[in-house]
Order: sequence, then structure tokens, then C-alpha cells
Amino acid sequence: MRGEATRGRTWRVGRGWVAWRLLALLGVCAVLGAWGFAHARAPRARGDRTGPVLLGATDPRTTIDFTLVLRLPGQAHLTRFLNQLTDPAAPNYRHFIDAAAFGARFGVSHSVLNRASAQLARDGIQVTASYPQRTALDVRATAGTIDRVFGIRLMDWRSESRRVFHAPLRAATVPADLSRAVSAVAGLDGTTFVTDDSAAIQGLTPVSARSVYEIDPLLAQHVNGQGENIAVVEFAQFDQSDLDGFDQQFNLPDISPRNIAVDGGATDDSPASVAEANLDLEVAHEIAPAAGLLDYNAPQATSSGADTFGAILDRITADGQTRIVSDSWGSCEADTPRADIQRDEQALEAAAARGISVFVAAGDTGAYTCQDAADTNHSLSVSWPSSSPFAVSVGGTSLSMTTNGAYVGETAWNDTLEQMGGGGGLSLDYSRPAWQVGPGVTNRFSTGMRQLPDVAAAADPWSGWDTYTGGAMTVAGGTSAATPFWAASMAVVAEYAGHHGARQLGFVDPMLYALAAHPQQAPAFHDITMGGNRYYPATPGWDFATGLGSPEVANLARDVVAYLKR
Amino acid sequence: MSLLAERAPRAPSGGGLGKLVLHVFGFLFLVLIGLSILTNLLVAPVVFVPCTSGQPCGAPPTVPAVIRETAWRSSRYGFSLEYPASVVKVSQQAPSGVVLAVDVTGTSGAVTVQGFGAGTTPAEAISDQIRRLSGVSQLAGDTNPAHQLLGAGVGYLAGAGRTYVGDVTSPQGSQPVSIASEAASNGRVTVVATVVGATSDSGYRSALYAVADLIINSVRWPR
Repeated sequence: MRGEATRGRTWRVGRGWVAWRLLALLGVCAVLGAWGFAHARAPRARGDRTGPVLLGATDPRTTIDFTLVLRLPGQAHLTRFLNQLTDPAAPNYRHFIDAAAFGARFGVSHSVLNRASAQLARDGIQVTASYPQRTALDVRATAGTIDRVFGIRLMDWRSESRRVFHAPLRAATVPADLSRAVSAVAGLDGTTFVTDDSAAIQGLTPVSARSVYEIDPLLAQHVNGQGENIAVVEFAQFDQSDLDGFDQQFNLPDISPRNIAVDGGATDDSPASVAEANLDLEVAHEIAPAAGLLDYNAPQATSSGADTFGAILDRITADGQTRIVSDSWGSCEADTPRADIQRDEQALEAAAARGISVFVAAGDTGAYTCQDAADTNHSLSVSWPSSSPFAVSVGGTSLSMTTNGAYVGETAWNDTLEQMGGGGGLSLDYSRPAWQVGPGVTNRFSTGMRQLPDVAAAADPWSGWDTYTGGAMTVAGGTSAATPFWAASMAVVAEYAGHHGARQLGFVDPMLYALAAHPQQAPAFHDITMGGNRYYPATPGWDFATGLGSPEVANLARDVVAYLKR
Repeated sequence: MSLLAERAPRAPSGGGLGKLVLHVFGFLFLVLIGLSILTNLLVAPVVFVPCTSGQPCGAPPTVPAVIRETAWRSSRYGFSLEYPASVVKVSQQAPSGVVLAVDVTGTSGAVTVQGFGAGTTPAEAISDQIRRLSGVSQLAGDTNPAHQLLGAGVGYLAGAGRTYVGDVTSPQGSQPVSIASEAASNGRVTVVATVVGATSDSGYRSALYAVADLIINSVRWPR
């Protein structure tokens, strides 16, 4: 039935009101105008998010890229292994393994894989990429072949943004001759990830952000992300000249992200999408100015659709260049095909096994993530892949601070009229992981399913982040900004931990919950207890609006070292 | 040297008996203080109401967010709010409330914020304010489910919210408007905020609603 639901997803990149809001409220300059007004003049009227229109059957000669999700015969062992990675009493505690070892221990055997590849060739399906962790095969075939082999009917749809994409009428069936190796077919729905970004008028500068979240004490000790790499997941290109402008504006060291193209690399250079990529990189850079930035990017609007997240993440894990990933993109979990979720989840598991933390934005429509695609969808819903038990889900707050950068307080981000707020709620797909415990976690909304977000940071556009994009300074908010902030903060913490003889952080969620459950006198988290996310209230301890809260990074670093050196 | 020379000479320290008296007196004084603290704890334990897990807790921050705002306070009900003066002007005001005119690059509208006594529920406050809207004809509830207000409230207190449609007649003719109203109560005061704007200027992603959200969230309740 999820196959049916996929047709309800809409493709959306960026938000039209981003720039003009800034423009309007600041009355800013002409230099911003060209970019801003391009969006300002096309605001969405209320209720116009009606979903895609069916155009007809896909031309059978059309070539389509998609993904075969490989079985993990060792799934039970894998689950046990992943649990042991964070259990100090377990033999595998913090014994992270690389992608090849993951594939050898938990993936299908080479012989099974070879037989499947031979069968694919006979079926007319070309393998375009594989991964040492043996989580998936990227493949290519014509629509006619796909229909025949997997028993579906691919159709063409036109999104509200007038982009034409493919999606099947029902979920694909894996034929018997492939079923020993393949568990599901992902990426046949051309719908792509939505982005989470927004804007404001006067934002956090690097100086104020570091001050308000207590990063300054670490910077004073020359702990600035040196030796760490942060990977950002992007479906759009960043603009180097904008990044240079950002550095000049704030007198930061030069930022030169390494461009790592996956599936041919991102082709989207629309202002809204570029703004997203710029924001991710700039926020990460200002928090951890000495950290290396790896821009893993893939096409967004291709026939491989939503599963490009899994492809990017598998590549990150296989490359083994980073321990921290930031992903500001996501989609309505309820509308994401189960096969796509499974494909992404296996990539997330392999990343966790490698000791990688993947920070993922929880979304910007509060407790109603799926309203992002359809105004009338008022079901409580969350964002994928933020809802994965192997993602660190990042929610949003409204930040209050003094003019000299001192922290005053935060509330959960809740803008009722704008239908915005920090994402959070219950996963439909995943149970609550064993490590998700602590004060406030079990509450009147709990059902036994995965709860998000895990953490939060400034996301309200009114207390957003300064960013340089389109050749000018602007301000952006959303969990898109909070996510690279958290990722970069953990890069700084990782460096600090290394200096103090602590081991690799690994997938940090279990550690964060353990630390929050035993707060020190100078706590590692700001517990946010006011506001809500359009449904769930912020409360003492963990809550569905802000998770554990926002970080006091220096205190967090101190506690992380103590935790890892137990 | 000169500084040292100008210091007041230290008082003579006194004899051994004086020291003993001083120590005994000090010890008794500390014992008395300790006993009084202990007595207070036993007789009248500190009343501490802990925050309850799963329930909102504490007062909202009293300092505005990053942006610098202009403040307005109701002299009758004691609540206050903030607004960005660059795009918002006070149009009318009274001890119980204020009408703010919003003008954002061609998008214009009004935000009316008004206080009521504790006897008025949020729903009643909304109805009252909608009834008093002047110049709006054809007023009716907005039946479009996409316009339903989810998570309505004022000043970080959950409350009620409703949307309406209507027409505003001016010398230039009749113009359809969207109206959104939110209200909440802290048990002593009920505050309602109503946003009115041309239909083309309203809507969830409009500048008018962005400013209105800021104003509504900025409401600080009287203590």
C-alpha cells in the first residue's frame, strides 16, 4: 500500500518565501532583490499543495536508474553487533568495522551476488555501482524491462512544480531468481527529498553562535575541528563564491569543500537548492572552522529519486573519510516507499557499524511533516531518514540571547500561522531503540515506536543563522541550519575527546541519552521546557518538540570524555 | 611605599582571653544559625513544585530573540508584546489592546491583540473579537481544511484558533480577506490575536503571517 501512497508525495526544493521575507522585513538592497524577488513573486497560495498529476504510462524505452536492496542474511547478528558497539559490557564495545568487513560479515556471499548479477544481465538490467558493505546494487534498465521483471507499471507524473517524474502504480515484486540476493526494489519513485530551510531577518553570526552555545571555551583551547572531516549530504551544488563571501564577511579561514560526486553528482543549481547547500557548509564551517568539509552530492531530480540518500551514505561509509555526516534533506516518512526506507536503513546501519554519526534534520512543519507535501494532511507524522534509529534527529528551537551573545533561553519552535515548527513525533516504521531512555522519554505520547527528535538547536527563522548566498548576506533558519550546527559541534567534541585520550565517538545517540540522564552541575544540554511544535509541548527532560535540548558544547565535550574513558 | 604608608593601622589583636571569648562567641553564633536553619527545615519545609514530566513548565523567556523589537504593554491586563517597528506601526491602542498595522513590501494587514478577563475563555474571546471586526462583510468560517490552525496559542500557551473569510469594502471596491484568530489564557488573563489581510496577501507563507507569528509568540503574560 505504500506504493500507492508514494504518488501523494510532491517534489519540493526550498521555500519560496525564504528570501522575500528577509527582503520585506529588512527592506534590503537591490543586490538581494534579483534573487529574492524571483521567489517573492511566486508564493504559494494556501491550499495549492495538491499533489502530482498522472500523465500516463512511462515510455517503455525510457532508461531508469534505480536500486536493488540486497539481503542482509546476518541481520540478526548485525542487530546484536550494533547494540554491542555502544554497550560497555559487550565484547564488541566500540569495535567499529569498515565497509568491507560489514559486507563480509553481514552481507550476501560473493557467490550469491555473482549469480544475481548474471541473472540481472540476462534480464537486461545493468549494474552501475556496488558497495563493499553489500547493502545495495545501483542498476539501470528501461521502463519496459522494469515493468516486466518486477511486475509493475511505471507511470509518469507531474509535480506541482511541473517536474515530470516516474512512479509505479504498485510496489515492485522481486522475482524468485533474484530473491536470494535481493530483498526489495528501491528508487523507482522519482519523487525526491524535500529540503528543510527557512529565513529570517537578523541572525546568528559565527561569533554569537559560538558564544551562545558555549563553543568559545573549546576554541580558546585551539579545539576547532582540526583533524576531523564533516560530510554533508547534498542534492544541489554549492557556490564557492558564496562560501568565499561568507568567509570574508566573518573573517573565517578559507572554506574549500571537497566535491565528491555520487551518481554523476548534483545538477541542481536553482537558487533555493544552492542556498541549502551553502547554508549547510557555512554553518558547519563557522562552528568547526578547521574541520575538513566533504560535499557528497548526487542528482536530486533523477529517476533514481529518493534512494540517492542511501547511495550517498554508502559511498561515505565506503570511503571512510569521516565520522560525522550532516543531512538537511528528508521526506514524509509515511509517504516514503518501504523499499526506499529499507535501502536507506541498511546504509545507516553500515554507517553506524563504521562508527559514523549521521545527523538528520527533523523537518520544519512541526508535528505534521507530511503537511509539507499536502496542506490538508493533518496526520501526525515525521521525516525520513530522521526517524531512523541510526540517525541523530535534529529538531528546532527559537533562541533568545543578549546582544553580547549570552544565552537567555530557548523555546520549541512553533509558528502556527506559517504552519512551521521543529519536526518531532513518532516513527511509523521503527520501534524505539533500547538506548532511547531517560527522563521524559516515556511520556503520555509514547507508543513504543522510535521517538524524535533526539536533539535540537536554533531553527526559528526569527533567530536564524547568517548565511551568504546568491552573492549577498541573508539569514536562514530551519532544522537545515540546526543539523550542520550539531554535526560541526560534534566534530569539535570529537577533536577535544581525541586530545584527552578518549576513543572514537561512534554513533553518538546512545551516548547523548546516557549523558542527559546523568546531568552534571554544569549540564551538557539546555533542557527546553516552553513552547511546542504545533502539537507536542516542550517539557522537562526529553520531549517530542526538542528532544534532549540544545548543547552547551564545552560541557558536552567534558562529559563525552568522561563517558568514553569510563 | 606611599600607599602602604596611607593604610590605616591595624587594630591591636588583643590578649589570649579576648581571643578565647571571640572563638566561643563565634562558635555559639554558628550553632544558633545552624539550629535555626534546621528548625526551619523541619517545621516549614521548602515548598518546591517540581516541573512535571510531560507538562509545560516554567515561565517563557522574558528577553526577546536575536532581533530587537519594540514593546507594547496593556495597562489594563498587564500582558505585553513586541513587534518589529520597521514594518509594524501602532494603528490604534487602548488599555486593553492594540491594533498593529503591518506593511511589508506591498503586503499589508492588521494584527489586533486584545486582553480579556479570566471569565472569558479563549473561544469566547475569539468570537468577541471577530464580532467586533469593523468593515468586514460576508464574514464566514473558513471551511478549507488546509487553512485550519494546528497548534494555536498565544505567548507559548496552548489555546484556540479559528480562521474566517470575508470581504472588506473600500472606495476601490470589495476585496476578499482572510482572517486568522488565536487565543489563550493563563487563568487570569485571556489574550486574543486576530490577523486580517487581503486573501492574496495572507496565507501560511506570507510575510503578513510571518510577522503575525512573531507578534503572537512574543506575548508575555502578567505574573
